[in-house]
Amino acid sequence: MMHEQPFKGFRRAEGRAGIRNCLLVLPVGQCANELALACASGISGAFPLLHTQPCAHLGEDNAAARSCLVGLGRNPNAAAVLVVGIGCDSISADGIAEEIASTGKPVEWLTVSSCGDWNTVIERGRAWLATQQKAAASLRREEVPCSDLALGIKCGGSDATSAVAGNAAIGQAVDRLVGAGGTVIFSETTELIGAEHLLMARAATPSVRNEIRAVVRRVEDSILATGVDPRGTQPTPGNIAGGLTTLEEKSLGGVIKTGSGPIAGVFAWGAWPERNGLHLMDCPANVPQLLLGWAAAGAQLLVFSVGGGLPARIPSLIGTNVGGFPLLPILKILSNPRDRDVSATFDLDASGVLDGRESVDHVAIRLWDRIAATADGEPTYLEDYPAPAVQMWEMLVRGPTI
Amino acid sequence: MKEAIHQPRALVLTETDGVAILLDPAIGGDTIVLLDSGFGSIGNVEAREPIEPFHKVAIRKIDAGDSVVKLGETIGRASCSIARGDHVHVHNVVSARLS
Repeated sequence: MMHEQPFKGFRRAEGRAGIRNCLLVLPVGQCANELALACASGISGAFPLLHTQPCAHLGEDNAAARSCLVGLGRNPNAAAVLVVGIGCDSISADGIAEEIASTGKPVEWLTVSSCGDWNTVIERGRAWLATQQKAAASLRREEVPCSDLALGIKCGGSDATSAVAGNAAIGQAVDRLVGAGGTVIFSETTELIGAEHLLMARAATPSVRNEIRAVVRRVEDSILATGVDPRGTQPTPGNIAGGLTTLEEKSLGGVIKTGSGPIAGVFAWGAWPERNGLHLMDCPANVPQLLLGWAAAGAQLLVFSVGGGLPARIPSLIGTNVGGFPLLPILKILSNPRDRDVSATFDLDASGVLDGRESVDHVAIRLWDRIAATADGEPTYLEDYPAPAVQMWEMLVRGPTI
Repeated sequence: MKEAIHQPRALVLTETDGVAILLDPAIGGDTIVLLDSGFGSIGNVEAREPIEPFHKVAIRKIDAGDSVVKLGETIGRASCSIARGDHVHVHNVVSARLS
């Protein structure tokens, strides 16, 4: 295993260290979103994670949502977790809280049923969060091995520059982190179509190889079963304007960011990978679902590779209506030199690769240093972005809503 | 009046590729300089039509139905015959998977 410099994180009672101290307010269903918002309102560091889980999902989808909620609470960036519910929710607040509490971090659960009424949940919730805010402020960063880092990797607004610059540099950083014993999670199964043979060849075991083939085949079959021509949807109109012609071309450019190392496993959205290493999370290319999935899988940091064109002109988080996701700091990387005028809205400008001013190797070193600085506490561009809107994060639904 | 000399550049990402990625805008008649990934010149191709930056130019003839290769991999099939110097995009390439 390669030795890398440790980072300075917040050690937790169990599991990986955090790189942020988030006071997570977790509603167990969408009826409790307003409670979460009211509990967190005005409390610095509190993140009301609003989401779309209704009562009317069936077995597998409910189980995945439940697992997702537990994973979000277990995420190392959550210093303390307040679980709120109504009491008649399909996923019980006390059950979720109990599982999160097994990590040893402070957890409280409150429901309208347990508190007697709506306003009491808010009063008690706010009082508890104020106490946790003081406790979190006294936590100090300590040296932590970088094998404790779990990184999500994603592309958005991809064009032909993504593969050459940002994704190539990310691939090198991924190899470096995995080589040091860390964890990296890639996803967006749709965008593996046409490139799955490259990933299968890197599977750590025959069973991982079969799982990669199975998840890609499932999404491809589901697209073909609709009878709808996906062209113009994947690649997206923005991708096509940027010079990407087919989904295969987009996929081939996308998998470059996974580096060259072995793929240790494939896991379902909502789950937590069992071991360190490079993993595929099976989830479509939908940002509000992906971010929940990455955070629920324990990722502390996301690297987001943006190509260029109009998507690069979005200063906030592409695919959402907000600036970011406080539980999972996001590093934005720019690849297209024609969008250099907006590079101040990115954390790293990789576009020098496209005009021969900088090598991919050099960008990869700068990226590694930026990842390390972010882990040590340096805010990302999006963490400082003002967020006037509220985002509903999305649970992944495969079956019917009844 | 002397015309400006257009020598747009294009990157050939892998030796086996049939296409190169324009780094500068090209118009028909331009001599595109082909570069390897280390930005060394490896030849040129004459553009037969306008091509936007980061779009693809064919660096060899690709027959209808043949694989279009970029990054050493098939990115689709030619839906018609593609001449050297043509813009290669959705009008002459289709996905080999989802079509």
